[in-house]
Amino acid sequence: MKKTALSDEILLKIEKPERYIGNEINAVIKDKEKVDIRYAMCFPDVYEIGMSHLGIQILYDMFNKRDDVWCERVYSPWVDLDRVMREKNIPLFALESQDSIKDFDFLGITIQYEMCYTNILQVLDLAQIPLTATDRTEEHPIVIGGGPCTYNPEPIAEFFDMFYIGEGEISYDPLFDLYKEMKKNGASRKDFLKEASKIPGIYVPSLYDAEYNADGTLASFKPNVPEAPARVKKQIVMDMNDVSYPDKPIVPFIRVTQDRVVLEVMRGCIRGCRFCQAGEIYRPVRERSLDFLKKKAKSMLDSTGQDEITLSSLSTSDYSQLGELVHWLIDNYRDKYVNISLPSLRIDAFSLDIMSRVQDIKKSSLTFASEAGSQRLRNVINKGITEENIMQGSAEAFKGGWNKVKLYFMLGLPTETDEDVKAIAHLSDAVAMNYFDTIPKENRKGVRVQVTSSASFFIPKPFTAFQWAPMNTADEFLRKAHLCSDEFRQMLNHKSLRFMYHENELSELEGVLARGDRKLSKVIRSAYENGALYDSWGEMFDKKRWTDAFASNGINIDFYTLRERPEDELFPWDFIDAGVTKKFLLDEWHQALKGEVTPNCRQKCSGCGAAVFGGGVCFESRK
Amino acid sequence: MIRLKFSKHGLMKYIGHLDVMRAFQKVMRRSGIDIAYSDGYSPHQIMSFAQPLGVGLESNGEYFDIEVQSVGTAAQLIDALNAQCPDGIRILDAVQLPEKSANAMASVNQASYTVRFREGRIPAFDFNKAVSDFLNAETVTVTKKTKKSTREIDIRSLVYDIRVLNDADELKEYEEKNGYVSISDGISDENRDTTVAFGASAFPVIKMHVTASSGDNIKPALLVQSLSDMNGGGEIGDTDLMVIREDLYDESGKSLIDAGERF
Repeated sequence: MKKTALSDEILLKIEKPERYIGNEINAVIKDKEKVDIRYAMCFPDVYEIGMSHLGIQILYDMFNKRDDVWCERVYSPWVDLDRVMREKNIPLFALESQDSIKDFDFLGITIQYEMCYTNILQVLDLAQIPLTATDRTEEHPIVIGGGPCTYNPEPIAEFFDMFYIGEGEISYDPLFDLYKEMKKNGASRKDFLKEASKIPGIYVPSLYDAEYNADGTLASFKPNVPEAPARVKKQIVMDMNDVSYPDKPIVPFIRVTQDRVVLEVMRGCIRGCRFCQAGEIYRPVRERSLDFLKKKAKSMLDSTGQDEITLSSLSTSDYSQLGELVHWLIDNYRDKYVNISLPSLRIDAFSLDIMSRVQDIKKSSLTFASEAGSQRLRNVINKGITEENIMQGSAEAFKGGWNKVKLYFMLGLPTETDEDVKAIAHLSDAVAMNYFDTIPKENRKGVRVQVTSSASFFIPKPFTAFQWAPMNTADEFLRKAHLCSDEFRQMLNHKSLRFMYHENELSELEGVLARGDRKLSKVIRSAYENGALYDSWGEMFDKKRWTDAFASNGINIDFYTLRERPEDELFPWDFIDAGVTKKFLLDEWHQALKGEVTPNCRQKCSGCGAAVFGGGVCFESRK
Repeated sequence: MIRLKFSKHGLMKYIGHLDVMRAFQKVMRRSGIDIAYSDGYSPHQIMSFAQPLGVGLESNGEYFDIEVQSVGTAAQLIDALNAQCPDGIRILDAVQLPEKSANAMASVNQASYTVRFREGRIPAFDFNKAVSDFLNAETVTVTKKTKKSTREIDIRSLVYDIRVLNDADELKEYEEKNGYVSISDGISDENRDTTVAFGASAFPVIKMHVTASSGDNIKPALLVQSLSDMNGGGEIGDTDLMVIREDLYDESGKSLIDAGERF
């Protein structure tokens, strides 16, 4: 029988033991004696969240296609097991082999959101790997980070041996080849890190020095060895049809967040919303071909037995062959009872037609990502959606039988006034009114329209036009949320409206970490030592652990959040070359302050810099 | 209607009932079995399970019924499913039920179990005496706690048989006499009894055959606790017992697999 790292009794006493035993369909088991490199792939959150992440599925599959690599998975133990592992001194283990990850060659950690930073420390700590990279010896795995948060890796730089900037499909092969070669020759960890820093996209933080001005801003950021490049260039896939993609994704036993087959139709987004980091760092837009997607849909559905497939991208409506793909899926899989899910569609006649064919209209709701209440503010953020679009789309939807609408907004956007805040309530009310205007009373069948508006708080992110922008304080966020909430109560159709908003203090902290520098590593460490863990889970977040951590390290959060940063300020993430230039982003910041919109990539090239990658939408013929 | 019998061992013992059901739905899809779907806006596979098995228990006799549109022989069906079953789950048998048979859930009335103690947790009382006292008693009253209620029941009347086997010879003799409870497919010895591998003491082994109807379901822990209570053995902890369910039976004591014909 297969061994488990945890004893039978521990497994029976903790919540959901399925999180820790592996053994899922399509999990990859290899003979550890026959591989050269053992790689533990970590998502630093609970299993159900981590298993829902497409990037890991892609890399897991790709790494395991190599005979010399065995890639396994590891997630954050939930707090119940965390306690037991500390008590009994059980080292963190990988799911497939159940072996301790401290004995692996690599520990790869995908970093999808800032609020997982304390979980990264939990994973290292439970794995019995020193938290600080420079404390690690030849015995320890190379700890490598990837994912969107590595576009500003500085707050967590101290904890990582290296970061991989960009899409994993490109530079891992050379990295593995180099590691294998150097391991065979008995090279030291330090030498390997130096050599690795020459591989495109690899950033080794210990090989760079940061110096600061008296006011705390960055004075200079330079490599301290000749091997390390001054700028690290993001790596992206340019031929989306000649690249690894899973045929046999792992099938979890327990219900996970994304419990379905995921078909990634494209990467990037043409829209250029000014608050959106993903929209910039994944540029340029690159689509997969219909043939590629059909082939993958078939192999993944056949090999998993899943009964749902989702079309994934930042903005699936912009996939140029969406109609053909959806019709093919309907023709081939509806009679096999496979559900087709279509998140992130813009609402128009075309998408409503498609959705009415694949969803239960009575149960589903439609989502409009309006992001701001007033047209003025939508222009500032370059959200190419107008009130007219929303009214037309919702009228069509109401006629089509939908009566639940969700509206997404952000509070605290640059230049926002109290009038803009109140406009959220007015727009929501107008949508409800639109229902009553569109659907005659006799056709309403006693059903009440439901408009649910939810507001998150705007957090300026690196590599966006708003990277210079000041952020609201947690108190100001709350004041605006209350102002908005009060306005909702005054609305004519307030009985059809619901308004919800996010956790303001969590947002403030996320803002600090998003645009932070190396000085924050010690704060994150203190917060972890104070007990911070699973911060992204609202009920686990305890602000005091963090305020104490900032105080004990003498760090003032206002420095990171409240300043409108000068245009000539050197940012901690400026050494990363994401294709999109700082000059373009600055132009966008100026346009934003003037309330001027910028056309999307298919309408007109605005010269963002991503054309340097030599493909994608930048080289499509424009209509 | 086709009735399938399966075993659940190894790491699968940590997978809860609802997740086992979901796993089987995917097994059906992967194996291409022509299973029937219900009508309605969100059709689901027509599949119903006999009785949930608690997390932590293993089993040599679990059941579910499926409706198919078309099917080959029982052997073909079993092979096709086993090729797609997760490690630790094995389809043992398949029979075609006569028209209008009661479904697996409605049929379950009794269950048999093999129970061992976790290493180091064997209570200090004489099991042979405890069991013979129990079997000779007219009534044995115990308090049964459920989520909804606490009530007194006569557990004696709900126990058909209970045996203590103290060593390998007694176990062998018992099994030769009672057989491997109608496991036609013959899973290997190593796989049909894995509690020792999970940390159980090899002996004593307690074999029990008890009521398992929806109204009166006697869990092995309740019976062992009552033996302990009668003999001053103290509290049996939540994870002290290591249990294998051997089979499920209908009201007449017939194995659920005997309700149909092989095909």
